[in-house]
Amino acid sequence: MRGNGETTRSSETNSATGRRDFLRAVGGVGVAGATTGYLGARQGRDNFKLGVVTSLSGELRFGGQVTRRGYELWKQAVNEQGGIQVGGSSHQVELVYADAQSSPSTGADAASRMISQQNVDAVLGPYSSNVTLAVVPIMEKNRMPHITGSAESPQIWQQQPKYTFGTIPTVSIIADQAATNILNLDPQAESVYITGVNEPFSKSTAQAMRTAAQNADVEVLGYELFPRGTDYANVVTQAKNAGPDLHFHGGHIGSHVNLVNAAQQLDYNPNGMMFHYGVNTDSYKDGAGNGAAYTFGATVWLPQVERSGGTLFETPQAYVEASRSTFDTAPDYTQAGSTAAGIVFGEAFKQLGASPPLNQQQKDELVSILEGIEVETFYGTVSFDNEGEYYHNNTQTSPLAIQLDQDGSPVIVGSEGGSEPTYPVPSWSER
Amino acid sequence: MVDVGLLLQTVINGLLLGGIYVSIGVGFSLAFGVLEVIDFAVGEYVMLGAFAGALLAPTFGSEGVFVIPLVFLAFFGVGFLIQPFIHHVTSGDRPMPVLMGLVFTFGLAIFVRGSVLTLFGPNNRNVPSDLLVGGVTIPGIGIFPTVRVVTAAVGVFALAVFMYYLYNTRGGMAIRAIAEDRTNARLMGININRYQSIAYGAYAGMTATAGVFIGLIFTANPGMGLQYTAFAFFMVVLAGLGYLPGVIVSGVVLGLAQSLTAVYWSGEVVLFVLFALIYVVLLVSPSGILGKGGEHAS
Amino acid sequence: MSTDEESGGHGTYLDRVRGLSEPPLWVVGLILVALVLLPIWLGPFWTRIALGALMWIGLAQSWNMIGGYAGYLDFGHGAYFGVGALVTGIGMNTLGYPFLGGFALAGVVGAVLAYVIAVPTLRLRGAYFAIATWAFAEATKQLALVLDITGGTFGMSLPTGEGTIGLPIPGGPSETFFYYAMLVLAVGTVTLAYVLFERREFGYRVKALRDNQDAAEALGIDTTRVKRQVYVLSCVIAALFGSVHAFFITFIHPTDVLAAIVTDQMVIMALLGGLGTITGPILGGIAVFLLQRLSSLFLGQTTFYLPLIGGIIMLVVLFAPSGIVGILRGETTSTDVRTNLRELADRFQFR
Repeated sequence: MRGNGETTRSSETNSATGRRDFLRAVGGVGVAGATTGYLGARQGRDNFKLGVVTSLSGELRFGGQVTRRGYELWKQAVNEQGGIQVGGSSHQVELVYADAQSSPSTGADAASRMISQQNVDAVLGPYSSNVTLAVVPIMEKNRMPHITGSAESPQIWQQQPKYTFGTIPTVSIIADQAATNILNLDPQAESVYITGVNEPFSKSTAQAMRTAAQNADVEVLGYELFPRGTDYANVVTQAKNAGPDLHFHGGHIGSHVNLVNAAQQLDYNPNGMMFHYGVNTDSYKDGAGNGAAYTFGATVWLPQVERSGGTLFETPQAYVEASRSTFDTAPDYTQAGSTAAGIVFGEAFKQLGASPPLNQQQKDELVSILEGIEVETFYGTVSFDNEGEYYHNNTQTSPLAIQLDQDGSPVIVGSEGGSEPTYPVPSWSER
Repeated sequence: MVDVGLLLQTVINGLLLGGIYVSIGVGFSLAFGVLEVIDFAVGEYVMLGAFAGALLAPTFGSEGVFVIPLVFLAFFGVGFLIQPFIHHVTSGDRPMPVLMGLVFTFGLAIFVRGSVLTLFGPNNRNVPSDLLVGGVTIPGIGIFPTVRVVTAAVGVFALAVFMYYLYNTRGGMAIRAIAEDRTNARLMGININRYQSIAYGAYAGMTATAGVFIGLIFTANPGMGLQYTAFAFFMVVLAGLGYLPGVIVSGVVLGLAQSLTAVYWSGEVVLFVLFALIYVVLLVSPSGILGKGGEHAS
Repeated sequence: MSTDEESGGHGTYLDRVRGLSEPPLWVVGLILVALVLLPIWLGPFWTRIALGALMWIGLAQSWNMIGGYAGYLDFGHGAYFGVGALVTGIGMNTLGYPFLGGFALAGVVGAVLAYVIAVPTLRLRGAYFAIATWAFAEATKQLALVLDITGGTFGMSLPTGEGTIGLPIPGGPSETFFYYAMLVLAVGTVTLAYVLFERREFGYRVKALRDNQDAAEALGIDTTRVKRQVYVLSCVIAALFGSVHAFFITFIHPTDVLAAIVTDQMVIMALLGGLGTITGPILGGIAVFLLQRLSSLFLGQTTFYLPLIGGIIMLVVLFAPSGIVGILRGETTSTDVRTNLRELADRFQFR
């Protein structure tokens, strides 16, 4: 995948506006230029304008780029169809970006800019739970509709945010379900070793994996969390010494790559290793090289799964095509969930039936519509919970366990209609 | 009941991890310890080396090891040509000249990291190798992963070469004279520019080489540098500034502390123990672990 | 770390900058009035940016006290910012204090911690001090990640809304409230720095200690005591800023508030602006913060702005030897740049 290939024609226009804004902003610093901000908010536009806060740099830059691709694809597809139909007229979609740099404080400023400077109609959310947790209070305070296509931490929904929604089921559902499927593969595992990176998302993942093992009556031989940047030789040595049937690991892609490399170097051969998040991404496959084959993982969406389909992208395959032709890369579920977030907004705009820009009353109405919405997409049916610990999270889309085959293509395993897994996986010396 | 197998393997892991740190620290001990350049870009040379490994290996028959000589030479050249800029900002009528080198290299680090991220995207990349896969198992002792053993060996070898150069050649004597007193060295007819550039080039080349190895052991990605910047500083200061053999001791200490803590205490506290240890060691022994470091009055 | 080729520059440089350190009183007054009135014209977003700039002015100035005036390169200063933030969170969440209580607690804990660290650490010199404080800061971050009371790796959300401040202010904390909080802190810090280091005898003792510790002691200055005073003062200021920051952002996490980049930014701001001066950190704080933050928000559709920032920093260092202070005083003219280029070219003489 080429990073620079991502600059599509549309985003070049964006960056031109961005540069103008920037110059204006630099000119606007200081007392004299302080009012430029208000002049900057263009009124009377007839397109839907959505703010995107995402992390293109910093620790979580990879996921940030994935969400960005997802949102861009939605915009591209909508605009190719002539825009969003409201009443008799159609309205194009415009996305404005800000880089949250994987930092809550920058993300919060970005969110504030979207609302008070850019006058957006709605906001598409950041990648990563940390930035989301700083952005959500600002959305609440300013009563701004906000859907995130990629934040999986259960922490977000426990706060019961009125204006924030999420299209991806929280990781406590995804990791639990997928881990259960893998624990039940034949031959049934008797023991598991669980590791995770000590960060909010990954710790939740590891906890969910442990719950799954306990529920399946599988012995947990070890449960260890490690800070980012640990040398995984020690993790592997301990795990190898315990000798489990399975190894589960929660973290981001870099940690999976380090772990699998260390396993290869130290000849650690459990019957299978399952990582979450991001086994089915180019970043994992490129990073792990020939070590990537046979890795187990979790997802909520794969192109080969038939989902309700319909809105905007006819089928999952059509979506894959679009992703390949625009970004030269195959989508994973985070990208799909981000595109779905856009689709849900599009449907809600249609149901609202108001022309942009939306006023506050219309935004509040939009939130009520989102609470009751049910949209059929290539990603699956999306609707949001309205009570309980997953408040405003879409829990409809069911999680799947996957395994990368010898060429690194994901196949569904351990559930009905799935393929036969390669299990136990061949040892390192036999590959 | 102590599991001897586990203990031995943990010690092996610690020593080899120390070897990885040595491979980073050895070049930096030249730049920071001898040249007195506070270089915040050190981790970015590691990152660039790893990236060069990932990008160039396909043209060398998918073998990362073959890229290494090229990377060393290329980054020797890069460092040779960057040093004049650093020399320029760290001399003349400037306030706290040495610290201006810090700011300059901080800018350089952001520039390099941002450029690689913008040009090549955020993905992890594999540095492929067929030569350095697997490990050597010594029965009753444990597994020695080939790539880690070779990395440690290269680090120690480089240290020996640098020491030989510094103490047994005219060039090395010139560098030491410059480190001692720039003005006197110039009066003695030493070309300061040349020898500083040679030393900085050797540092950049060696650090990028370590980067290829780190890419082979772990992976290459644009954000990996920051972590190694911190470790390079810790290594060289623990060793005692300007005392090159000290990096072996600090590498071993840091590597063993990390692996023993991970296995016998808890993975979660590994880095806490490590950094607290560095702090305490410096308090107890204010000029490096062996007390042999030079004085730097920045 | 300096060699004698360079040592002459310092005193003359400070003398040159002194002129700018003390703008006429009416200018200062005018700036203050403008700052007080500023929120009237600014919308919520620009108020956030302005208060961010004020915070970084104060942080850069606090680092300048220990780094610039006392000459101790503190690479762990950000730890106190993070501790201030976390202590405020603990005060409000665990102990149920209003913000003001958490703020006071942050100051007290910051002071005690700074003293405990100061006693052993200030015995170290130069790079050893720098790296020891860096290791201390990293250890603090790692500790915060595993403790329960800090929220560990899940971080902490702080209370918001009406009645959380602890002052009879109607409504919850708004951008305007935080603007004035940062304004008071930043102006207080700058004034304190000016009075202490440029007007009182204390400042001369500190500078004597920086320029030659042994000589200072020979003059009867209790250097140990002076060092500790400067260190504790500068650290408490950082902790207080961390406290307001936490209440402002509402979600804090050890990897963010204790990040090494917090310290790095303070150092770069003070150095780029002009070290050991009052104006330097102010200008450096504004310039670096705005460059960073605005470019990520306005040019944030790609990451191209990152190499741009790096390039700008390198160019300023190369061609504006006395920092931003120097540029503003018109010191960096085209002749200077040309001289600079010629000198730079000389460094490429390898024979």
